[in-house]
Amino acid sequence: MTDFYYDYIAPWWDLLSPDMQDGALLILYILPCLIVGFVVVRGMRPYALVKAMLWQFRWSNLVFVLLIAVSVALGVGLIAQERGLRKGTARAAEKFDLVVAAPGSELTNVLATVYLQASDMPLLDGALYHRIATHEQVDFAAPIAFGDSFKGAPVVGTTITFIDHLSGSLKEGALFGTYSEAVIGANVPLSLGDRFTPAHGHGDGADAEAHEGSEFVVTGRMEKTGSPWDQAILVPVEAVWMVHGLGNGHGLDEPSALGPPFDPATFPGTPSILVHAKQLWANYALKNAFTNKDSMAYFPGAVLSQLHSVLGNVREVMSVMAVVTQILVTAGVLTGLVILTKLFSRRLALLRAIGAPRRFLFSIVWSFAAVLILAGSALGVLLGFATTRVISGIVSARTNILVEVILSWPEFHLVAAFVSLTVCLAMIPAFLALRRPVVADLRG
Amino acid sequence: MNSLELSVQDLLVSGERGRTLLTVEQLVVHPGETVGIRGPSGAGKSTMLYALAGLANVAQGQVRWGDAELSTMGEEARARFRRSSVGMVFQDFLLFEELDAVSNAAIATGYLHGSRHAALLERAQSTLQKLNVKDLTQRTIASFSGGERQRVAIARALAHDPAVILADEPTASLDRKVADQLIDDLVALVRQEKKTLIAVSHDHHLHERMDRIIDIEDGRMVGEVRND
Repeated sequence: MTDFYYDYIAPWWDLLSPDMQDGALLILYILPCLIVGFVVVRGMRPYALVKAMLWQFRWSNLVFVLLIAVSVALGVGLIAQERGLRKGTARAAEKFDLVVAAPGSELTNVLATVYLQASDMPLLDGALYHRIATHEQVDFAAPIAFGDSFKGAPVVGTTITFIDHLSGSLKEGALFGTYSEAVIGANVPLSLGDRFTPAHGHGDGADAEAHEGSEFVVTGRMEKTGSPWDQAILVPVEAVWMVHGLGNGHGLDEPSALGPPFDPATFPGTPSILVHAKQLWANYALKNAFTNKDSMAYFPGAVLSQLHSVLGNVREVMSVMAVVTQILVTAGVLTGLVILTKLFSRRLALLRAIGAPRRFLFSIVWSFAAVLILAGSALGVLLGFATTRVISGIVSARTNILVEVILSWPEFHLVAAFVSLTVCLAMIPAFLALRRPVVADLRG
Repeated sequence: MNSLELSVQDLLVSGERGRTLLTVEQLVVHPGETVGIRGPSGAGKSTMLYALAGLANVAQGQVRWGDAELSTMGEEARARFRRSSVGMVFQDFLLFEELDAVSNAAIATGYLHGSRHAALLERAQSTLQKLNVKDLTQRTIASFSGGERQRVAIARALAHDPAVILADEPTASLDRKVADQLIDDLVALVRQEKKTLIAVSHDHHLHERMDRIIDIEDGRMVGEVRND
């Protein structure tokens, strides 16, 4: 079988584009449904009687359709949600090529540096920063100093190079030019010219009066990035150091210097440094160069991959649960159909009595079941999509990670396979309907 | 022209666990004849009708319609014979409530070959009109009276132009006046179209209009009366 695939199928299959392969798979999955439908209904016109059954048992049918819809929505929603989350978190991290931090948990540092989840982190010293910033393969090294906030928005100290890297051009206004100016993320509810004083810390434990007297004015707003940085307030890293009474990192003779180079001797420290290499390949050399007992260098993308792997495993477990749910719902619905068919048995017996072929009865019962399955599946796709949109909206609002949900091939493959399997199983109640005694059913 | 003569010979119909439900030594019904079957409840009248239709379990003997020997046919062949040659009418109509009169009368369009659909529909509509059924497509059967429903059931039985009509208590669910009118219309139609009618009934008004009446008791034919 494997040889057959590699000898005869793979050469053709590999010529197809990914979309064409997915399209071909979709056709393959739905093919059993189409073949069964063609064979069962060919030459018969059961539609009027199917319509009659649909109307006669409309409330039961509605329940069946909803049951199928919920089970399909569960499967569709899981796949779409997991993909949306994976893409959203990856998009949020794509500007963070290489991060250097104090040795510890890479995941904790990713959460703090990339996703701005508050965390106490050890600081890197000025000598290390200097070595990184002056490395021949480093394009720029941006300190990322977090720890303060304003009304829930993290206040992060950094450089204008980092802002330019993160946002490109500004949506409005100008970059900060003094220690009392700030650039805000796209979703921060402040306007240009607004003034604010940051609190020390985050959330309920934040100390609003710790930095009293240190006021910032908003001078610019970044473009939307689809990341938690849309909710952040970016100020000069020197300003963060100064409001904490640590100097400006440039030495006493440069009281208003902004941005690198910094003075290694007076550099107060930073929890993370974003490193952008001149060449892509150099990232690996830099990672090796700055991974030692004093620091760790890591690729946020690699950490995310591990996280996505776990997420994928969770999705697989939940997908199995969704499939089990679908099987149980299908079994329940088919059992229900057998019962409904019994309620319709006098009419089916009448059809036999007036000479209808067995295949006509079979086509009625099967088509009835197929309509319920198709309607439930279609509704399930819509329901799954809508539910996922709502959940994604909540996740986006809470994390500022833009989780976009679109339906894609895997969802349609799942639904096509489900429909094909269940319409094949729908032949069971149709067979059972044929086995009923005509005369006994006619007598009622 | 109807040429299907019914010939029953040494018929034994059995039920569950081989229990004998009906025996008929000999019965002949000529094409175009109208025959009533009467007898007390549980005597085997309906069983006889189902045996003549090829629906009951014939343990031995022959039920022959013209050249078609039902007792040697398989189930699908008997169904094929019914859809070409037999129309059936039941006591409680057995119509599809959600469909209109024409859709019910022409229900066979669901399984007959497409080439016969136009003729079937035309015959269903003309029979409904002959039987004075109004609103053929405007309303569903659910809104029809009992008399109207049975007329639709008769139109369904005649729509595919069968040679034989088998009716099981066709007037039992109707009041006297409606039943009399229905009997008039049914008998007039089958005589006009020279069809064989075999009707099981307790209704002596119906039997009075038949050519012949067969009496059944305890699962046996015990006699017959010919109306002059």
